[in-house]
Amino acid sequence: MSIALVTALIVIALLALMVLGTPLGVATLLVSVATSLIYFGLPGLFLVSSNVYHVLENYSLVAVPLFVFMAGILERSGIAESLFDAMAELGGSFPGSLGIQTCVVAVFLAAMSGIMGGEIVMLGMIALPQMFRLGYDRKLSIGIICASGALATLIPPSIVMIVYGVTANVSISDLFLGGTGPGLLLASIYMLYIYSRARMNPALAPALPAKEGPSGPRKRAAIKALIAPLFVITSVMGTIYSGIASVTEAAAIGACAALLVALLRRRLSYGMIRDTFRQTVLTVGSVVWLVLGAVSLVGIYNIIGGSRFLQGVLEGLDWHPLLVVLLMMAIVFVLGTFMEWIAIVFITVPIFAPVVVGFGYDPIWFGVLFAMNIQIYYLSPPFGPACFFLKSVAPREVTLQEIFASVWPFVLMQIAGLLLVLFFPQIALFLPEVLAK
Amino acid sequence: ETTLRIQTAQNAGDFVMSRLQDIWVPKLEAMSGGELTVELLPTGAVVPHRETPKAVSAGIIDGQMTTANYFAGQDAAFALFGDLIAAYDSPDQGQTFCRNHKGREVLQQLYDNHFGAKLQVIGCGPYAREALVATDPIRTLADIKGKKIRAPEGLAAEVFGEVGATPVSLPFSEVYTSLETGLVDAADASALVNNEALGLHKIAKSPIYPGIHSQAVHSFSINKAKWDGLSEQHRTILEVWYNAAYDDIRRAADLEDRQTAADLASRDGFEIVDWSAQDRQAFRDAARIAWERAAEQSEDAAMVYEAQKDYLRLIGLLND
Amino acid sequence: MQAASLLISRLSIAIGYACAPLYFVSLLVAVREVIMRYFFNAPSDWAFEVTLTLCAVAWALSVGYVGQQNRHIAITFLHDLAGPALRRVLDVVTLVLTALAFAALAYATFEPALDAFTRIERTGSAFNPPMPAILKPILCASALLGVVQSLANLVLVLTGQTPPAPEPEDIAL
Ligand code: NA
Ligand code: NA
Repeated sequence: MSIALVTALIVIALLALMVLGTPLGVATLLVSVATSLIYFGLPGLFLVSSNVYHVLENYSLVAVPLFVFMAGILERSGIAESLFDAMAELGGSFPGSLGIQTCVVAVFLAAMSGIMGGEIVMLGMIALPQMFRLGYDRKLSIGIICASGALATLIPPSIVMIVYGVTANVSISDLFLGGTGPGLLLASIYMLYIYSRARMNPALAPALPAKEGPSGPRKRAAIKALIAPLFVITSVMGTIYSGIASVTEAAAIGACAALLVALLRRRLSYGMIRDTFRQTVLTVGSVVWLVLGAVSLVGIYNIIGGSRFLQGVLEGLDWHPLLVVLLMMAIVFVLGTFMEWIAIVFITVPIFAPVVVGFGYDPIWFGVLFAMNIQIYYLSPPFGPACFFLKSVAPREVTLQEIFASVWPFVLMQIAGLLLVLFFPQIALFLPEVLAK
Repeated sequence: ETTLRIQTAQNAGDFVMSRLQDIWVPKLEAMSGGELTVELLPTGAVVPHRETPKAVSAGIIDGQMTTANYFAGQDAAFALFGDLIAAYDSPDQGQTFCRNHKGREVLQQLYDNHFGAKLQVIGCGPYAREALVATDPIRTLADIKGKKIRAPEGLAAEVFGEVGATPVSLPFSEVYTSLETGLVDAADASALVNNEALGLHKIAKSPIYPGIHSQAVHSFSINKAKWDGLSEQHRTILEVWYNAAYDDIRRAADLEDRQTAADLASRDGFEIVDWSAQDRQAFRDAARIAWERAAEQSEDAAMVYEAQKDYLRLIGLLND
Repeated sequence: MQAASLLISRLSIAIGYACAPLYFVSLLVAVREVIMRYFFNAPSDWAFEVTLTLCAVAWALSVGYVGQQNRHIAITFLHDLAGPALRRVLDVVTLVLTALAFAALAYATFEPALDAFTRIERTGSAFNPPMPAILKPILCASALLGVVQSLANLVLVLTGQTPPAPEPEDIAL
C-alpha cells in the first residue's frame, strides 16, 4: 500500500472518529494503535507505549499546570476590574475610548496570563456589560472582546508557545520575545480599527459620560491600581529574562505573585486555592490526554515514512519557500476551523518545522506565525473556542450566531497581521535578535 | 535489496547527520552495488531516544546510531561506557579503545545483559571532544572551584563536584539564557563548532578548547535477526563503512573545530583556554574518584571500568 | 451495575482531587529552587526531577476525573445537533471506543511498566531517581482507570442517566 493511500486512510479515520464525537486523544490513540498493529503486529505497541511515556518526561510541560493555576487565581482576584477602572480613568473619554481601553486592558492581561480562556472570561464579564450599557454596537463590542482576549497566546507568556517549543524543539524564551512585537502590532491594528469606525460613526461607540468631582485623587488611585498587574508581569517575564529562573520556574513564581495579589486584595481563601487547583487538574488532564494520543500517532507515522512523504511533497512543490509557508498556514487555518489547537500543533509541527528550517528560515519566526494562526483558530467558526467562552459569560441574549457574525472583521485583521509578519519577519525577530546581542 | 531503517541520536541537518547523509549513505550504496542502504531517521522520530534498544530488539526499527549514555538509567555501566568524563585527550584514543582494544566487545556484553541479546554492535567510538563553554576564563583546575556548571548527566556532575564546582542540572534548551544571565558560569554543551553554530559564543567568550571533560561514544548496532540474515559480504561492508565514515567525521569535525578556534581567537574579547597537561592529568586523577564510585554500582559497571582502566594505563593516561 | 459505576466515579473524583496537592507541592519545590539558587547559590540536583515526577503523576492519574466530568476534548457538533435517540447512540459508541483505546494503552504499557518496576529503572542523571520505575507503572494504572471510568459512564448512559454535567466555571486554554 502506498504511503499516500495510508495517509489518506489515516486522515479519513481520524475525521470519522472526530465527527462521531470521540475524544481527540482517543481518536489519535486508536488510529496509532491500529496502524502499529497492522505494520508490526503486537510488538508494534511498543511504539505507542514509549512515545506516550515520553510526554510525561517533558519538563517544559510542567509550566502548563502552573500557568493554568495562575490564570485561575488571577481570574478570581478581581485584578481585571481594577485594571479596567484605572484605564477608563487614565485614558480619557472620546468616541471609541472604552473599546480602545479594553484593548489596552487586554494587553496587560495577556502579559500576565498565558491562556486565552481566562482572559476572554475576564473581559467578557467586565468589559462587555459596560460597552452594552453605554450603547456600543453589539457586534463591535463582541468582536473586540474575542479578538483582544485571544492576544493572551501571542503576548508572552503563552501556553501555545510552550507547546510549540516542546514540539519543534526551539527555545521557549525566544518564542516569548518573538511574540511580543506581533502581539502589540495586532493590538494596535484593533485599536486603529475601533478608532476609525468610531470617528466615522460615533453612535457605534459613544464616549463615556464625564465624572463628577476633582480628577486628581481618582488619577492617583488609577495609577496605584497598575502596580499589581505590573508586579505580576515583572515576576514572570522579569525572572525569565534576568536569568533568575527558567520558563517553568517563572511560571511557579508568577503563580506565587498571583496568590500574593489575591491575598492583598483580600480574595484569597483555602477554598479558592483548592478549587483552582482542582480545576487545573481537570483542564491540564484533558490537555495531556489529548497530547498522549497525538504523539504516538506521530511516532508511527514517521516509521512508515509518512512525514518524509509529506515533507517531500512540500519541498517538491517547486514554489517559492514563502508560498510553501503560506500553504502551511492555510492548512493550519483549515484545521483550526474544526480541530483543537493542541492536536493541530502535535500533528502538523513535526512535519512543517523541518521543512521550514530546511528552507533556511528561523523556527522562532515560524513559531510566532503559528501562534498567530492559533489566534485565528480561536475565533473562526464553527469550532471557535473564544466564541464559546464569551458565550458562557455574556448576557443571555447574546447568541453564538451573533458572536460568529461579529468576529469576522477581526479575523480579517488577524490574517492581515499574520501576512505582515510573514513578509516582514523582523516584526517577530527584532526583539529576540536585539536581546541576544 | 536491503534497506536498514536506523534511528540516530542526531537532529535533522546537524553536522554528523548531514555528513552521513550527503557523503556516506551514497558510498554504502556504491560499495554494495546498490544492494544495501540505510535510511537515517533523526532523534526521537520513531521512539524516544532512551527507548531505541527496545525498539530495535522488537524489530520496529532495524538499527540505532546512538550513545550508550542515554541508557545510564538502566545501569551505571552505560554512563561509564558512553562518556568516561575527563578520561581521554582525544576522540582518536576513544576510537582505538572501541575498535582495537575491548570497547566493542564490552558494549556488546552490556546490550546482551540488559536488552535480551537481540542487538548486534557493528561499531563504536567518539567523533569529537566537547569544548567547555565558559563566560569567564577557567585557566586551571584551581579556577574551576566555585563555578556553577551546567551538567545534567550523573557522571559529569559527580566529576565537576569532585573538583569543587557546583553542577547545575538544566535542560539543553535553557543553556543559552542561563549563560547569558549568569545562572551558570559554564556549560556542558557540544563541540566547539556546534557551540558556535548555537550562538553560545555570543555570550560565552572563554571556551576551554581542546575540551577537558566529555566525548560521547557513538555506536551503531542493529537487530540481531536482521544481522544474521545479512550475507557475510554485507556484514563486512557495514563494518568497514561505519568505521570509515566515523574516521572521516572525526577528522572533518576536528578541522572545523580548528577553523572555529582560529576564527574565535581573532575576535575581540575572546580567550580560548587550553589547559596544561598537568592540569588535565590532575583533573583526570580527581575524576577517578567519581569513576570508581560509579564502578561500584554494578558488576557491569566494574567490567566497563576495568576495560577502560586497562586501556588508559596502556596509553599512559593513568599511572599507579 | 449502577452502584458500581457510581463507586468508580467517586473513586475517580477522589483521585482527581488528590492530584491537586501534587501541583501545589511542585509549585513550592520550583519556587524553593529559584530562591536557593539565586540568593544562596545552592542549586539542588533534585528539584527538576521531583517537580517533573509530581506533575507527571498528576497528569496521568487525572484521567478518571477528566472522564467522569466528561471533559476529554472532543468535537461535539454532531452530538449537539442530534436528537435524544441519536445522542444516546453516539454516547454509547464513543464510550466503547474510549474504553477500547485505554484498554489498548493499558495492554501496551503493561510490559514496559513491569520491566521498569522490577529493574528499578532510573533516569541516569545526577540525582538519578527511579522516575521511570514510578511513572511507567502509573501510566499503565491510569490507562486502566480510563477503561473503568469509560465503562462506568457507559453504564450510566445505558441506564438512562445523563452523563455528569461539567463543574461550573472552568479554566480553559
Ligand atoms: Na500571554
Ligand atoms: Na476555529
